[in-house]
Amino acid sequence: MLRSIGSNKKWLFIGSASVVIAGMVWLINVASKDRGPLVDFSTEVKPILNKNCISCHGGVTAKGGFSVLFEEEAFSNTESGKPAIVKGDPDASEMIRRLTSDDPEYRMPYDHEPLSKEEIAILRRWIKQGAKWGDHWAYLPVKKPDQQKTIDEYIKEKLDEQGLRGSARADAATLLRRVSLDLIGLYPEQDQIEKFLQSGGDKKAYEELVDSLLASPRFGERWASMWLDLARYADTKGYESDGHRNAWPYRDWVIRAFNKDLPYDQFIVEQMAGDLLPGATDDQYLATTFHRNSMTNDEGGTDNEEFRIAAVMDRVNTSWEGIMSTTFSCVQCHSHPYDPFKHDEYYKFLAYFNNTRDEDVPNEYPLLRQLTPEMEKELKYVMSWIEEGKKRNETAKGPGAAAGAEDGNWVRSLVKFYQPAVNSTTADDLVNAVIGNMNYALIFKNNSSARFRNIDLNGASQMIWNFFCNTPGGRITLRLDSANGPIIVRAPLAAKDEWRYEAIKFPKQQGVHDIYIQFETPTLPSQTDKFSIVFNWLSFVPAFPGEGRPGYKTAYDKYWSLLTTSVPGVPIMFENPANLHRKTYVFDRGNRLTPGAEVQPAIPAALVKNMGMKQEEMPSNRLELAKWMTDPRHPLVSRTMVNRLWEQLFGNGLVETLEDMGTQGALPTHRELLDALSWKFMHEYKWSVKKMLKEIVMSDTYQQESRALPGHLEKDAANKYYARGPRLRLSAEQIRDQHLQISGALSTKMYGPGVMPWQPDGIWLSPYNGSRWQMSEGEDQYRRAVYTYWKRSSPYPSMMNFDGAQRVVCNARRIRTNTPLQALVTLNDSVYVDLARHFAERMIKYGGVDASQSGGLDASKSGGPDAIVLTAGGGESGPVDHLIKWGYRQMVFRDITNEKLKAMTELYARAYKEFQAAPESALELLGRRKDSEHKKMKSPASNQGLAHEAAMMIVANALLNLDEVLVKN
Amino acid sequence: MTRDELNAGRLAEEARNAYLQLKTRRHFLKESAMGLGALAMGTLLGGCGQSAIDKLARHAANNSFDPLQNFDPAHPLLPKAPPFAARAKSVIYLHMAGAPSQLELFDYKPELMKMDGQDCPPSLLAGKQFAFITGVPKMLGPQASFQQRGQSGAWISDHLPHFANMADEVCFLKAVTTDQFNHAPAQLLMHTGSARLGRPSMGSWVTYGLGTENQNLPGFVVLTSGGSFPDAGKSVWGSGFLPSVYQGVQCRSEGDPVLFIKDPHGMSRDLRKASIEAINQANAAAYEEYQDPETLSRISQYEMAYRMQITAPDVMNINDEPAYIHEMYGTQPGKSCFANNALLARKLVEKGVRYVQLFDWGWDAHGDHAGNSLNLGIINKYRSVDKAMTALLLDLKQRGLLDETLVIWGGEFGRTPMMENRNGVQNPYKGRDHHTDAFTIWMAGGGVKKGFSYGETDEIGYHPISGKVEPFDIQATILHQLGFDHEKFTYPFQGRPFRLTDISGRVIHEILA
Amino acid sequence: MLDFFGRFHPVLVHLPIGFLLLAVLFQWMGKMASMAYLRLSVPVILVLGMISALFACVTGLALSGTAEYPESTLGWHQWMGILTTLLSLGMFWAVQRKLPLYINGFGVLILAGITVTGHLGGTLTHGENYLFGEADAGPALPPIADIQAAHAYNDLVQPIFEARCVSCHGATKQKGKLRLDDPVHILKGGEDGPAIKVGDPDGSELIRRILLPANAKKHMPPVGEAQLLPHEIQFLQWWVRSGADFRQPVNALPQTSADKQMLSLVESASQGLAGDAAPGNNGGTAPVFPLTAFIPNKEVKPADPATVQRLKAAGVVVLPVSRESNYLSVNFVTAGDRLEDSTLHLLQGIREQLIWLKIDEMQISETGFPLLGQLTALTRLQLSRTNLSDKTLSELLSLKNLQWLNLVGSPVTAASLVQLEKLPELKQLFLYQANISTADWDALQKALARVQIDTGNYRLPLLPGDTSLVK
Repeated sequence: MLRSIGSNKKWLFIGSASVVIAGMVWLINVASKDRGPLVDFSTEVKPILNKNCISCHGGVTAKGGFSVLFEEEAFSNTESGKPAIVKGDPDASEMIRRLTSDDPEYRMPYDHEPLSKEEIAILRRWIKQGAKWGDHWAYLPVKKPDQQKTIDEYIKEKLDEQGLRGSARADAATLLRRVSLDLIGLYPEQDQIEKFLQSGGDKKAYEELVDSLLASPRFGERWASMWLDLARYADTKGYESDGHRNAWPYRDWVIRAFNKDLPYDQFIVEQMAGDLLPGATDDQYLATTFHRNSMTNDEGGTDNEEFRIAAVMDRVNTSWEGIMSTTFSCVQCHSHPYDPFKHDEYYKFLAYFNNTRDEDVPNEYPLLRQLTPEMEKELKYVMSWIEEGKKRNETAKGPGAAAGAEDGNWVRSLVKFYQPAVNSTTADDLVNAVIGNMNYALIFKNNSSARFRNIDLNGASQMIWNFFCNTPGGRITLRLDSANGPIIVRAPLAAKDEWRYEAIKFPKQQGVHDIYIQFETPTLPSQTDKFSIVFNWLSFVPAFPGEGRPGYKTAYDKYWSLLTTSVPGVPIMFENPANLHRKTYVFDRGNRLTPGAEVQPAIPAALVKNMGMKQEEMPSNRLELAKWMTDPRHPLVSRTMVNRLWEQLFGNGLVETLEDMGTQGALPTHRELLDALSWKFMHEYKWSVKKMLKEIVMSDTYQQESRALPGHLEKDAANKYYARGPRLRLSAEQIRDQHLQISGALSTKMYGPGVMPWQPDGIWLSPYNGSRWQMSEGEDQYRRAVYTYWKRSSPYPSMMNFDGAQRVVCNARRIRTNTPLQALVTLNDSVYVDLARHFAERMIKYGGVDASQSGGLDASKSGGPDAIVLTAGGGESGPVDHLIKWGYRQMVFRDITNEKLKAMTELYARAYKEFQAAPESALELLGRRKDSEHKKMKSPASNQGLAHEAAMMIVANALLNLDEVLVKN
Repeated sequence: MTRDELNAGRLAEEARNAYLQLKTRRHFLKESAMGLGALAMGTLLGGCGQSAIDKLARHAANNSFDPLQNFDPAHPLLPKAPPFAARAKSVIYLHMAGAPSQLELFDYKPELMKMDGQDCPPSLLAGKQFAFITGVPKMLGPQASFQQRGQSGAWISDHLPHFANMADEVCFLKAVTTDQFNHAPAQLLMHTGSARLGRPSMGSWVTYGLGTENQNLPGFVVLTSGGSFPDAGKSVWGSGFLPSVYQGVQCRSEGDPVLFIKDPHGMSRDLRKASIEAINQANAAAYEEYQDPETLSRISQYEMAYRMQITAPDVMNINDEPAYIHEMYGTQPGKSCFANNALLARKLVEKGVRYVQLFDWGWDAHGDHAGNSLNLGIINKYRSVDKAMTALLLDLKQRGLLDETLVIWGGEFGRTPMMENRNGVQNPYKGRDHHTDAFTIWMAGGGVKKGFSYGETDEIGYHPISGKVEPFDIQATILHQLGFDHEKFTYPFQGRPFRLTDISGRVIHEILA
Repeated sequence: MLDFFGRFHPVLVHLPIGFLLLAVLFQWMGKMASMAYLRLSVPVILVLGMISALFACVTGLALSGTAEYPESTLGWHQWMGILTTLLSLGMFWAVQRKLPLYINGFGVLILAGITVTGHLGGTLTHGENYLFGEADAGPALPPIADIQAAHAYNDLVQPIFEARCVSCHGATKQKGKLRLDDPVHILKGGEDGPAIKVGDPDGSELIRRILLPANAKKHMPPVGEAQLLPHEIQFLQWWVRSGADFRQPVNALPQTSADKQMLSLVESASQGLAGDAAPGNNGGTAPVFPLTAFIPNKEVKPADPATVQRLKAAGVVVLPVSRESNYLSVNFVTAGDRLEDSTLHLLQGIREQLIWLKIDEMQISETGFPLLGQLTALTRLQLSRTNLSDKTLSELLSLKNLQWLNLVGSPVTAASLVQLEKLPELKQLFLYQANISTADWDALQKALARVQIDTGNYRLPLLPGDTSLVK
């Protein structure tokens, strides 16, 4: 019996045993392998390394001789003598051992949370698979896409992956509003609106609309407000007293540039180095204000050099963050921990910017003086007179003869820029003299002496200088190379109670010398604390050419009055002449007081390599640098701009972090699309921003409805796969401009100095600065936001509430928020209350007929003023509905739904009742002077009129606060 | 997961709950209750346990202060719990812009008196850079008489007769040092952790980290006096690279207490209420159309705006305070002065405002004119703050608020033991130049020691000899008292996590109770 | 999916343990003729053991993918588990082949396997030394009356060493050839060189070891031994920095103000006072009550989210006291001017977690106060400017944990306030603008001797300087 059981149970056992064996085999197999899909370095591994390792094992700080910053470092031997990563063998790799040890002394990351199981698994797999390194995508040149695909095709691919479906095309009204606000930040001309709406918004009409918008002068204004954040444009200097800066001509340059669709590469070149372009035009000089928008500090006692360097660094950082989506600023203190940029490479790059004339002086030299047309004509005359003389001279004495002597180019330069010149603040070797407050001017007492170093005296025979001296009997002496060196000239100095220009003539000099300026006067005690001379700037130039020639006096006088007439000037970039050339040093930990090795201009090696540049292609000056940036091989510039344009239209960049495409930035949602567009931008569209924008807004993706369909929010709340159209709160500028337009108050006047629309008192209170917010007159109150005066230390409050940028440094991205303070602006800010008043007036004036028939802003179908009385009586009567319907249509081009209409008419009724009971508060609301209306107030009819107007104003105020109006659909 | 995605995800979650309420609500505005806003926010932070965000929160607590769960564009100001148990709920920072002289107030230096009028020894000038002193200045003895006060025996000069009685309530830091000798950069360093413009101010960091407890008031309020903004302008309460919603909200004693808080002239409160209800009804309809969660948060923001209109002017109005309180502070109703601001500060903290920043301008004691000389104009500055700041401490104390409110008083740097000789010329009045190496600030309440003094300077108050602290240390300490680890409290910007204390900072445990 | 299976690992592991132990057990018991029948069941049990072991392994593998475990321990656990399963297979084979030697061999190995694997598993889930918990560190120092007068070495250093080190580094045992029981040996040091570097704590091996993370290999005292208390470490650091003197009293050695501070802490600690949380004189002249002192040490479970929701919807600010804690603080600052009973009922839902409550300028109904009285976890309560009256005050006497009570501006009189003595924990009481006069003061003082009372009403004299300017 036992046996029989045994025999069949035997099979049972053997069966189960084999199951177990099989199981174990599989198990051991699994347990001992790092199986899994192929690991991608730049998207999976690099992020882990950057997050956890690189701060201690990156470039400079390679603890234990191990660094994961560059490929060669990662696999080379560490201090232990062995490499930390053994390709193909995770278990033999010290790295993995360290990551997985449980001895805190040994385990990495040292003294931090251990890596997650998943992260370690990825690293194991990566090493197992041979530890392939890869360059970060954004630092590799844009490649030509293999096959031509449309935006929509790229988008669809991802949508399919996500199991999402795109939305239908939005209706005409939505499209009209969306594309207009996006392209020109306003609504188009009335006839265009009519035309488009009547067409029902079909593709053809849409394209026509787009073209007309791109052609509109409003286009430049809208896109300028984007660029000015990057250019940190402002109308003041920034620090402490935060004084006025005459920079608005640059703002206008940007607007014009966008309007004439200046190719983006040229756009960049002119702003980076317009001054260095051969035969640079005034406009090209103006463009360079881009880099003079950096802040300056006039505070007493500040060190000009400190803030000059701060400005130069700001220029470097802005160039990278704004134009190349790279956070270069970290590198000023240490090698970039995440991206392949070395510490000294920051200063090599800085060297390109380190030789401009600006020195943080209060007068902001060098300037492009804004000569009036007449003055330009005069200058022309002077220059041609000189030119003519030069020719004559050559024909007389043979070509080029004594050209030096007759060369009058300095005249033009001096008149236009006050250059060549040295700022008196740079004087040293002072005797009985000081630099006022350490930073604003050289000041003499008596028996004073000061030195100006390395003055180029070749051909010079006069010193033209700007100064103040009201001490009589003084005598000024210029000496060469030492305080008692040979005297160039000694001249009496008259006393005058004004700042003045003078020319002190002396025999022609040669060579580059130190110049000692000395002064003494018998009218002051030899040792005194009294100030005798305050210097501004000094210029050493040749004699005015053509002395003795007929017409000399006329020419000379014209030239002198041009030089001495005071006109505003715009800060510009202007390169140092050879004699004033600055050396550039590496700053240890970014501290200028601990300079390291001297460096020459160069761009980071990693990019040289990736772009496959030859050494001779290395830029040697700012202009070549600009050319390099716009080289089609440059991996970042086109990507950055395309990404930014996309963000402006969709609310999110294809790379969310506009400021950083580097390895720490967000990963692109649609990398192929970004590259394809970037390629097109450069090669097909030849850097035309308008063409690029057109392609995007013409895509179906852009034209989708923004309604969130079931599943959208769950699957893709952020809409980063674009299964629906963008729905975003408008920018600070868009809101102001749109509301101006809806209420009919908008002034389309372009250009000119910043304007000051209404602002509450007490916003401006800078120390040592008397300037006040002077509310602009007339239409200037109703200019577009881009023209609003921008004071850095106290920016226009309502714009700041809507996430405007303070513009102290380059601001690559605004983050949209939603706060009660925003509601308070559009509800209560006098500006918006005033606009509600205008809007109400329009509704009353033009809305008096059924809005559903009216096309919109058209005055012809107006019900006329008498509509007031007509509608006043009833309060909620039909006509009021018409007004509201009409008004609503002005805002969003569609008919108001009954629910909304009901909300508004009820509000009207309530307000009407209240104001009828209290006409004086109606008057107050309408901002009318009581006495003038006094008589009228007797008559009930006019009270009704008043109540009606006031009630409509309340409604207008509400309408202008509707979600649909504050966002674009 | 990017910030936007997370927030969008959160918005979606929010939308579902909030919408149910929306459907069932008849009236949008309940004056006494938070209304839809709160309902919408219900699903958000500050709660305990559950949601995905809270997981993140816990994760954040032991990794770093994770912006993913700390910044929500829809409700960026929601109240949030501090990562660690806090010792202070609110901060009142009294900044004397222009830098008061430690040598006339707290740092008693009899030795310096002996040197009065002598030429400054070259050893003190070697390698030093001053803002204005040029050549060899004269030493200047203390322009004040000192006494030891209270049990703690702290030296406080007769310039502060009222404050002298507070010696046992406060904690002095006597060896504070900075590396910026100009006002604007030094003030920026003090409040933003960087001498350059562009970084967020301490208050905006705190608001970003804790939101605002009283949804009807801003979480970070700034009050200025002295006739001018601090030299560094609004950047000392700006939000830098943080979302601008975290910038300080300036409250004024003239004009609107908060900008745009007042209804248009001629519009009644009821009418405003009606209009906001109308707007929100219309917006609710818009939500039905577009299903955009953002619309819901806009609805709640308008409700909040309305409640703010009711609450803020009340809190900002000091006129209802009893007469003896006005006497205690020495207020001048209707004016914008330090005393009024001090009283406002107490009212705000009482109502749950987290961070109140006072700037009083005009302390720059150069002595180049009577108005800023140590024994004329500056004495009036002492008088303008002495009573008010003393009253503030006592008033907080009697309301049981002092223990949970950290009060800080100080300038951006100190003054030199030498008399200023601007441009090499002896200044006409007694004055001192900017001095970076050593100055005094005091703290009170908020879990710091009472009647304690930390740090010492040499016999002329020129250099620290012990207990030297930097602005970063003060910032680290303030954050610590509010429940943050300053090394983990970061915001990702330009590809790296930024900290208020940048790469330095040490919590001054020695002064903590 | 994976992690779903993973979750079963902790349950499943116990099957193979049971089965296999049983198998071995039966196998050996079966040796006795009287129990030979047990052997019949051994193969079946083994098979069950094997299969359950197999599942245990699979689920274990799944689990390992889902959570963070120390890699090496995990590795060992995994392979030991697999090995044990294989052993059971081996034993099964041996049983089939009837090879007594092997059977017993495998039996032993299986027992070993199970024990090791089990222990490793335990370590993974419950952490290191879940077997032998940490020895509790009592104070090393006897009470010290005046630390400045005390002898630095004899009265402080030596007692600390005695309590923390000498058991391994003394006359009897000299681990690492180090003795810390007398100056000579201390200075001599051990096999890793001198233990202390005079004047340089960070450079001293002794200090360095103490400061290493607790679970570092070289950390001293070793895991499981009594650890040094923070102030003991601080003292040793100072002692080394100040020159590791063996002769002088404390006050003879250099001290910065920070050191003085630290020393007074050591003193109060030795007397069993102070410590960060507890209020008391920490060098300053007056006691300070940091908020952290009002958070109970013992943990509490999370509050019911639904309740929290409803409270928030009512405009109540509900916040954890910190993100690490489940304790809640509640503030009614945005909840209007009437405190509805309904809301107070809601509060009952979080009464275990609710420790801080702020009610300012609100009207509470007669029936409301009893509800407040039920919030017994409260440590801080503010009832300022409410309608709290003598009549309703008694309702609060049930708040046994209350330490901080703010009744500013509430119409209560001394007569009823004296009852507050019934609150055992009460430390601070704020009565500014309450209904009391100076006459009541003594009575209050007597009744509430332990309590720090602040009746406010401070005034500042008007001085000439307040109202005049110098010109």
